Amino acid sequence: MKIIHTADWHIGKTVAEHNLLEDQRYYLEQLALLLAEEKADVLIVAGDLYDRSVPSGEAVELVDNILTEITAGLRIPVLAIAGNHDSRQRLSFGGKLLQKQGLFLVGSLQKEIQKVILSDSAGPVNFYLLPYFQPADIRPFFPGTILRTPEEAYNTLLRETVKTLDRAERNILVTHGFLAAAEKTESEAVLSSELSVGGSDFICTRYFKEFDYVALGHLHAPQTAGLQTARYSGSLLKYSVDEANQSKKILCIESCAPGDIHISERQIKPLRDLRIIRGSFDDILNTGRNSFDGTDDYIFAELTQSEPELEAMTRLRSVYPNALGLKYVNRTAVAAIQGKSVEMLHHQTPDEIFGDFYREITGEILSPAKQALAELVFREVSEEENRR
Amino acid sequence: MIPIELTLKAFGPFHQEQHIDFTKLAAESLFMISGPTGSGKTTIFDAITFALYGEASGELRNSDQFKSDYAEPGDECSVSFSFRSGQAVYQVLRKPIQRYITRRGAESSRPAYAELTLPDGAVITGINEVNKKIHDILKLTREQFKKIVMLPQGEFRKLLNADSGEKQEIFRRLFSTDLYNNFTLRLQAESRKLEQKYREVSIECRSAVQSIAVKEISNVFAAGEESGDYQVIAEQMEKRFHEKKAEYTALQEQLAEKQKEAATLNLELFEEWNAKFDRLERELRTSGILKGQKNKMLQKQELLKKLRQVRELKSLDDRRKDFQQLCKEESEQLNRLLKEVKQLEQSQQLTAQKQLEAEAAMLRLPEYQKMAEFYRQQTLLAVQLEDREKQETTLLAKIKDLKDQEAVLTDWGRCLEKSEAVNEAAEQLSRLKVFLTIVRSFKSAEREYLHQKERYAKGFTLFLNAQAAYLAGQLKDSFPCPVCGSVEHPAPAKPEQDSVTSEQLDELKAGYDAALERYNSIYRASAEKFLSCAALLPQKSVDECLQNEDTAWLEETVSRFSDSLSQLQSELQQMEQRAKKQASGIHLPQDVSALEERASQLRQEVVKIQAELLLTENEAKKLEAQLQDRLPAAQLLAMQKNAEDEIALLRKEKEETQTAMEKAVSRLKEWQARIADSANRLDLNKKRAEELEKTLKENLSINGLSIERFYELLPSVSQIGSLEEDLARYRQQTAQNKDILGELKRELAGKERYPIGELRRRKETLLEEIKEFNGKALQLHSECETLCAALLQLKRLLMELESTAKEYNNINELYQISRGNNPQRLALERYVLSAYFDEVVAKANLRLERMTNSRYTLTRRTEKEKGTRASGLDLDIFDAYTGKSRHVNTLSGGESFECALCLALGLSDAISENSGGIRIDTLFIDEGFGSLDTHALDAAVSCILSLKESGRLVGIISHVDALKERIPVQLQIQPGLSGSTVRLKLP
Repeated sequence: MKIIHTADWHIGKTVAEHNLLEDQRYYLEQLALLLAEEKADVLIVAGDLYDRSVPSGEAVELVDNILTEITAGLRIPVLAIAGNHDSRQRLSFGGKLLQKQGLFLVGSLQKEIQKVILSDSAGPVNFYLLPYFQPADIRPFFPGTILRTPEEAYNTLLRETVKTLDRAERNILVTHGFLAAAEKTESEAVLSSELSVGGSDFICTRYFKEFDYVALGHLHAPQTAGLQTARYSGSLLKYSVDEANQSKKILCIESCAPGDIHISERQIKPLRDLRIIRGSFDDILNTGRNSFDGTDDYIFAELTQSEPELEAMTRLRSVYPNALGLKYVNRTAVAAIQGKSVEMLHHQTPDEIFGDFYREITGEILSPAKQALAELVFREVSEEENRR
Repeated sequence: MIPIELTLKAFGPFHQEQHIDFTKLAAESLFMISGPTGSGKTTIFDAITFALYGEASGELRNSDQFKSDYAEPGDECSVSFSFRSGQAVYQVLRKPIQRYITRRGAESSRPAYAELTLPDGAVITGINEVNKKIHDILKLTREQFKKIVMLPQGEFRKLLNADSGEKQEIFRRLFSTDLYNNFTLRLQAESRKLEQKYREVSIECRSAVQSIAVKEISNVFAAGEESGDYQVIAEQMEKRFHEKKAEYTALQEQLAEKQKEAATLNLELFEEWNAKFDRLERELRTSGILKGQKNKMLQKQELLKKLRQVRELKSLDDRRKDFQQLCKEESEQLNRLLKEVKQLEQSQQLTAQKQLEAEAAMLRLPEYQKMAEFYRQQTLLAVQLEDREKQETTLLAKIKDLKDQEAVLTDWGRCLEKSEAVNEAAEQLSRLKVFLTIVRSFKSAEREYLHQKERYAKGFTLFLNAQAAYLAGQLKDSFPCPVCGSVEHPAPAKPEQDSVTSEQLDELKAGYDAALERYNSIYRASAEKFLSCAALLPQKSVDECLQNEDTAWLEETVSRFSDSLSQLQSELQQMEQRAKKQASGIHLPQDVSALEERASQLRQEVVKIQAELLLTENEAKKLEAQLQDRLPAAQLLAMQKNAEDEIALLRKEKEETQTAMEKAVSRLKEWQARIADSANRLDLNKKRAEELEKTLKENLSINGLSIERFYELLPSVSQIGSLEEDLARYRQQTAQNKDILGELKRELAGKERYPIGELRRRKETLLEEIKEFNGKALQLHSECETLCAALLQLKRLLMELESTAKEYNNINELYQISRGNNPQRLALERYVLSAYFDEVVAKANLRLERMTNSRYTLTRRTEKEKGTRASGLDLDIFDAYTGKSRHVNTLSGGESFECALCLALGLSDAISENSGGIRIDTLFIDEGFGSLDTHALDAAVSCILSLKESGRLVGIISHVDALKERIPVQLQIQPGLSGSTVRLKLP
């Protein structure tokens, strides 16, 4: 069986006021072509199908079209689960009806993880589709057990299903979250676009090794999660400036027997790339002017000059119409302050501070007589304060 | 300030008591208050602000308006809020003024109330005190609280848009730069003081100058005064001073000369010289007088000589007189003594007589002694006799007692016998009873036995029948019957209804056997028992007894016996009672043998005692024989005593008289000795007196004095002293006079008197002149002094003026500079604050950068404001996209919310890093998120989330749905029919 593993579509996402719908549409169409070429047997979307719990109309329309094409047109079943950005209930609308057509949108939760069995010549492959959830969602299934942390909740639910696994068959888990199949290790840096409130805690589980493969979603960078057979496919596109240096992939898993897993990668070139350009403003503009392609890309400019540029954004947009933003990386002078820093303040006595102040104002150094006078007054005033 | 718990009662839309426990949020750093419009979200923040400061969080609401309209008039509106500041936990309870309508319909109100409980349990009440204490704890006023900790709805921009002056106020408290402010104020005070001082000193100068009434310099004065140049005046004054001084010196010289001349005219000396001449004349006169007195003096001398002689002899005379006196005294004493001697002799005679009498009485002594002895013996005997008699009576009593006891014991013995009889009767009765019981049971056993027998017989018959029937049942025609061998069975036995199985039969047999056994055993037993009471049942045999159908006769016997028994028992009881009464304390032995023993004991004792008694009686008889008179012992004793007393008396008499005699004799001797002494002395004195008289006469004749003359002159002896004096004086005077005369004559030889009058006149003139000069000099001197003093003062004042001026300039400069009156219009405090402010801005910028993707940066405006408005703490916003800075007022609603939020967070960061004591641990944000688009909302929420590490708590009020989904911890406010309720929803 050939399985294509994707995740984190975030259809409808906007980055810095740019709607990426067009790029997403392009990409998904390319994905459909790839599915056809590869003669894939099943497509997995491991969560975050949409970017919002109530996505925009266009986003819904796009997803509708593409999924219809894949399931009805290419006759490739699609297994999708709700992620932390999706609304579980909304995503699984019409779920039971759609299942008959090969579109599995799983957002609901039961004590047993929803299981979809697809068979090939070698036998059945059990797909366990576990959408993203909070501990409060599964507490009703386990009365009497205290589930406080997401880790406890996740492991409790997974254990129930692991007990029923038939090792003679191939079992694949599709899940969404910040997960790892190990004891607590140094977690990878979590990027800002993946953060959501109350969902960014790191969950460790030891049940991943019970499955032949675990298709993970949530982290936008393709990576493993402690096991070779537990992987994040990463997001389809680069969805924030922090991801500019990641290389996005789609994973292809082939399996002919339980325990037999071959993983390979595919790549689709997006309509527009998201990249960071660094240099002085003029250089950046010139490069843009002189190049023929890539000016459509989503550019984030890191300006190395120290002085701010007037109307920088407008001018940048004139060359790069899809510029996301700019940042001055060397501007220490932004905080150009005259006078003191708090550090210095703490190390000086009041009369020294006054001396500096005097010098700043008049340009002269405080004469000894005046200095003595200032010291005297400071001493008197602080004594009075102490007495109070 | 970290909230712990909040309780609302009848507050705003909350009617019932609502209780919010913030500790449940523990790990979360962000919570959200959500609910429909008007449900009471802002009221929660109002409640917290009210609890702390007594006022609402925003500007609009008034603390009067807090009481819930849903509440009954009797309900009390109150807020109780406990929070932690540092390590200490405080609890504050506040009630706003409660207005209500009394039962009578009048309007009344309960005053507002506030109470603060400190961590040590102490309670502070009173609105002002509580406010003050909260202010001390949190170190923020309500205004500052509203700008920094709780950002009210619609007012979050206040801090962002505040001008430098306001910001300075706020930051001064937060960063404790009071020192610099006080420094500036102090400089101001000092400079004012110095200014005042300068004015005072210059006034003093003027008055000092004016006080000098010096005519000469008045014109210079006037000129100087106009110009205010006291220096010139001072110089003039100095010049004048020197002039005067010279004048004074010249005068002094002249004066000295005159004085010297005056000194030479020593008038006194002259007068003395003249006096000497006078003296001489006087002395000459005196010597004349003295000469005239000479004769009289000679006479006096003669008289003196005679008187002296008389004086010597006077002593002799005196002594003679003394001795005569002594003689007289002595003879008197002698007479007295003779009289006493006579008396003594008389008494001695009396005593001798007495002595003789005593001796005679002594002869009777032995007689008395004998009598005494006799009586003594008699007494002894009587005593013994009485003893014996007493003993007799005791013994008799004892015997009687013992006999009584014996009688009692006998009685008791009878009782015991009786009781034995009773016991025996009782036993017989019991035996009879037993027998009766046995008979009864025999009867019943017999019945049983018969019954069982019948049953068994019946059963056996049945069984046999059954067997027969069974066999009959087995019978088949033409088969022989096992019993009779017949092959025909015309009437086979039919099974009965009641058939008995062999088991049943066995049972019955067993029953029958048992009953028989029992019957037999009882028969045996009854036979036994009969034997035991055969004696009581004459004319009967066992079988007769048993055969009798009823046992009435037996029972009758039994009752008879029991009656007699009870009678016996009652008799016994009576006897026992009687016996016990008589015994009364004596131990009654319980059985007969003991009784016997006791009785014999008693009898033995009686015998013993009787023997004793006999003995005693014998003794008594013997004694009686010896006694002469049977008198009681006491009387005899008394007589013995009498005799002994008589003896003693006689002896005493004898002794006494003897001693008296001896004493009398000795005294007589003594007296006679004394008389002899006295006579001797008398003689002696007489002789002496005569001797002295002789001597006197002799001496008188030597001196040629007659006795009469002697006694004439005797009284005048006292004048000797005065006479001697007169003479001595006269001599002295004469001598003195001669000396002086001699001296004076020598001295004044050839000399003359002085012309005193002239000289005196001269001297007077001189003195007058001197006085005049002195006066002038004094005047000059004082003028000089005044001038000098005034000059010094003026100089001093001028110096002071100068130094004051210099000081004032210094201080004033410093003051003006630190006040901000300088080209940059930057005050000292603000200069210091700007460092803190920069830090705040830097921290705010860190967040703002993330939130706006590095587009916006806050900067501090450094150019000065126009005019005199203070500057230094104003904010600008730098837009990276345009590369220009602009005023914060130009930001849109959402952007300014972002900036305000970042600024508030940056401020709380800076405060917690810098100033100890002020803790901004909590942040409450009331709305504002509605103006943010989705990106900005994400950014804001992630920014707030990043506070988790710093341990701060952020509370948000919002109705934005996107937030509701993101934030798991919510305080949901649900409006209801009778007020809203709060529900805490945890993940």
